Amino acid sequence: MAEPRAAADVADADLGSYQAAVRLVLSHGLITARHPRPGILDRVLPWADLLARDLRDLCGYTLVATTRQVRLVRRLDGLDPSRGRVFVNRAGRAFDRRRLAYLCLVLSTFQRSRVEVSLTDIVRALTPAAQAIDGLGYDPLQGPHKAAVVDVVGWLLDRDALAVSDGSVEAWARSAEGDALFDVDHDICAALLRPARPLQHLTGAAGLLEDPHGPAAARVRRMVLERPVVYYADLDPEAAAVLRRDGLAENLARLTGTVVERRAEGVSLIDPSGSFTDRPFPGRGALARAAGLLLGKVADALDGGMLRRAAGPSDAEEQAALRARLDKAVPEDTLARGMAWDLPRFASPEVSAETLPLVERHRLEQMVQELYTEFGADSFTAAWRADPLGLLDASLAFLSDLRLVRPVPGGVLVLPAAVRYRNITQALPTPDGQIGLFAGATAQEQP
Amino acid sequence: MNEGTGGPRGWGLDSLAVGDRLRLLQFVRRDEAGGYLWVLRGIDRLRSRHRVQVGVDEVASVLRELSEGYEEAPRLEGVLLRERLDSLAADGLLHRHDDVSRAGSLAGYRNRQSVYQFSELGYRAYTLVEELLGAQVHDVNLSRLAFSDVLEDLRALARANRSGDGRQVLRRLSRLDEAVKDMGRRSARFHVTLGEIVSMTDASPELFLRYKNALLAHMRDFMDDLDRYLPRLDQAVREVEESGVYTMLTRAAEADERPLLEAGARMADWEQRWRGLRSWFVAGTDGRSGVTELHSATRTAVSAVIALLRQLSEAGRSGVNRASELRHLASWLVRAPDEDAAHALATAAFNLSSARHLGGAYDDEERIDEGTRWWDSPGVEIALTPFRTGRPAGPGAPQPVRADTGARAELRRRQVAERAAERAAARALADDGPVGRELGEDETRVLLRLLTKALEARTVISGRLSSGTGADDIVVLRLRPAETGDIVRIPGGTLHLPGFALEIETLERTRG
Repeated sequence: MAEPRAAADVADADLGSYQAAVRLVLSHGLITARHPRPGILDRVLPWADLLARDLRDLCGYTLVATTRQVRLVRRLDGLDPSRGRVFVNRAGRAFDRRRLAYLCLVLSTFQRSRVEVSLTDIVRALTPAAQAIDGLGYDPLQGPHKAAVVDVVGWLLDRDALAVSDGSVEAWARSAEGDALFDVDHDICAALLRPARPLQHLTGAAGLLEDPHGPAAARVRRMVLERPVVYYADLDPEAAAVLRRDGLAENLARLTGTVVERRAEGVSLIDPSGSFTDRPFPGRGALARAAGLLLGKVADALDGGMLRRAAGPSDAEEQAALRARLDKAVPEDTLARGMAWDLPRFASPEVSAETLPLVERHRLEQMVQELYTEFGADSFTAAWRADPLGLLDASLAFLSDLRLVRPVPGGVLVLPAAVRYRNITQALPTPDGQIGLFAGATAQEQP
Repeated sequence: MNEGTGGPRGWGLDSLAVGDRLRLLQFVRRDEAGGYLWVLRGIDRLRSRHRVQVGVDEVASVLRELSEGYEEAPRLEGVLLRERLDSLAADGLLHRHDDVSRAGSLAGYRNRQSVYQFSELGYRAYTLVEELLGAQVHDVNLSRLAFSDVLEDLRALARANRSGDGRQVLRRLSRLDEAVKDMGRRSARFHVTLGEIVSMTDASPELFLRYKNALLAHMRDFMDDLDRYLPRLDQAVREVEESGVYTMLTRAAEADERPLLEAGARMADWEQRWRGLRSWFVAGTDGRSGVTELHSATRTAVSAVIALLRQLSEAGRSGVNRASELRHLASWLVRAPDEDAAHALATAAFNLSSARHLGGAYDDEERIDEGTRWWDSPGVEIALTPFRTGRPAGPGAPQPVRADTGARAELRRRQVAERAAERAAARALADDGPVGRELGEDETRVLLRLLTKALEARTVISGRLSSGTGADDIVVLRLRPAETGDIVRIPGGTLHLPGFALEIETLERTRG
């Protein structure tokens, strides 16, 4: 099958603007007048028709564009816990289960076609629904419960689903008399929840995913388009053959304005703009910095031949385990059994024979301690100054989200693309305070 | 008779106290209210046969008659029926009289019983209840036809007022009054009923869906008509006003036949009605009239209906209610074994996520062979500053401007002073010439700056400097080739200018 050519009707002069629109849509599933930033909607809307066509032809995605919002409805091939970055409060902390559940319940209270609703009324409607769920509940006297509501409402406000017309959420959180009055945007509320199939018809989490035996080309395109790195080792033979095909990744690079990096182990679309991602790397912030420095240390250890090799669970095994955990949690009593779907069947995962360099936990801890000694604890920001091991865990999770390492019991496996960043090691200063740009060996000999 | 409540308006007929009137409805609160209602229905049926005063036996027989047609009608006889009738009489719904018809025999006379008759207000209470019970919510509508009648009546009213036809004025005014009342009543009922439908469709979405098209079309047509008639109605009201409101009201009051009202009261009554009527069609000071409010209410109703449709069609598509779907998801999320699983579920269910990509591209990607392993390819060149120092590469964000007005004023003052000194020095240079005297500090500074400018702007022809000029806003300095160069004495030394003569003039002089 011929590859549908991306951005076929776009003039070269407009290509940059089109690619920016593609990146915006893929980085933000929902774009409204003020989310993620004012002005974004205006940059995307002129391209909406072309975007919808390209994303449909290439990936099977649906792009719903109105003058007030743009919503990308993806087809999912796997579950990804790290995408929880979407559900964060204003301070950037990920939602816990209580907040996620409250979000659902608050949205469910908007079912009635009221245009205006006060926070007190929302909570009044939320309370019985929360009490009905074992282990959730809502108690106005409990600070954490109120804080969760504040986070959820803030999330909805950020996405224009709600707009404050009077009062404030802070006033409500502070005192019993305080309240806030919202205008509800039902269109956006309706656009927020777009599961692949009705949730109450699903007997398992696999129902949210695409059929793994569907057309391989679209599946591979989705992976290349959305994942930091696609390794051949994670693909079935058919998909791997499609990925090796000339033109597929290059076409997507044309679509997104990225650079194709093709290696023996896999393919990656590299994003020079630094914005086509929810985890900017290399990027600013203590976490990205620590992760980068850690990669430098790991590269040193690799060069020094100090690492033994080990095999870890494959992608498919991890997915299967995640699905199994979620399947056990399906609430049976609210399931519409009579309408249950046939869930797509995933092949039982084969054990990966591939071995990768293993960095053991004690070595990682030693590395982070070295970093603290070399750069000074203060340079890792106030949040992590006294918590090197916390920073280590966060950095490893960050690298794992980027598919540069894979956590296994006792340490992490280094994935091939990680060594792209081996140069970071040269940033380490030498004892005389000079930067050893041409002296990797000197840096390694550091204590 | 009670006094006070009736006032001067009536003869006391209306003076039954509020408490007494409310007592008329007491039968609906009694046990077996349905039984009482059927008794009243029986009496009403007899009343329609012109049997005004009825005995217990007659009521019993009409109840038997009714129970053949209606299953729920009770068969009441004898003592029980009489108790009921007496209770109704006690409530004031019925009057109880002794049977005054001739008994004819002693036995009959001894057994003479009471007869019952509706009281006027009692009958009203009864019809009220019947009306309520029989009310059909489906017959509500917004009457479009009223507009053309209203328009015609308004025009006729203006004509009648001009021609001095008092009876016609009264007739048209009464009709208008009725029409407006009817419109108000209808629109209120329509919107109330619509509100009820919108708020109860969880129970019966089918009912709503069945009528949605007719409903939307009805509201849209109504709004179209409203738009069309609004300017004409406004115009017609103004025409009536031009024909003289006071005259019109006087004529109406004169032609008014209500005998129980005094002339002044009639006038006041009509004035009030006209004011109400006018406010329906002509915008007040706040720019709103009854009709425009009806318009906006209808528009709101249309959007409510559409919102409801949206929800219903959503539910229809998946066969499950969205709200219950969300509650189901909430419960699933809470039962998830760990936060990771919960996040995986939430992002998949909401279908919200972001693409994720690595940054830092090779400058010369083509030079690395596709078959090379990542393990063997060189590292990518990236800005190391962020890793080294924790600060971003590049100049960083602009710093905020500090609004230090005191310091700024001082700087400004100094600048002005310096500038003034410089101007003075430049003038002195031009007036006194640079040669043959020792220059001051300020003069030297001006001279050197002008010299620099002149030398930078110089024209070099075949290796020799021909001439040059330098100027500021006060003076111009020229370097002229000369056999003997000029010598300028400046503080702390002497400036030799071999081969050049200095000329300094003020600009005004040059232009002049």
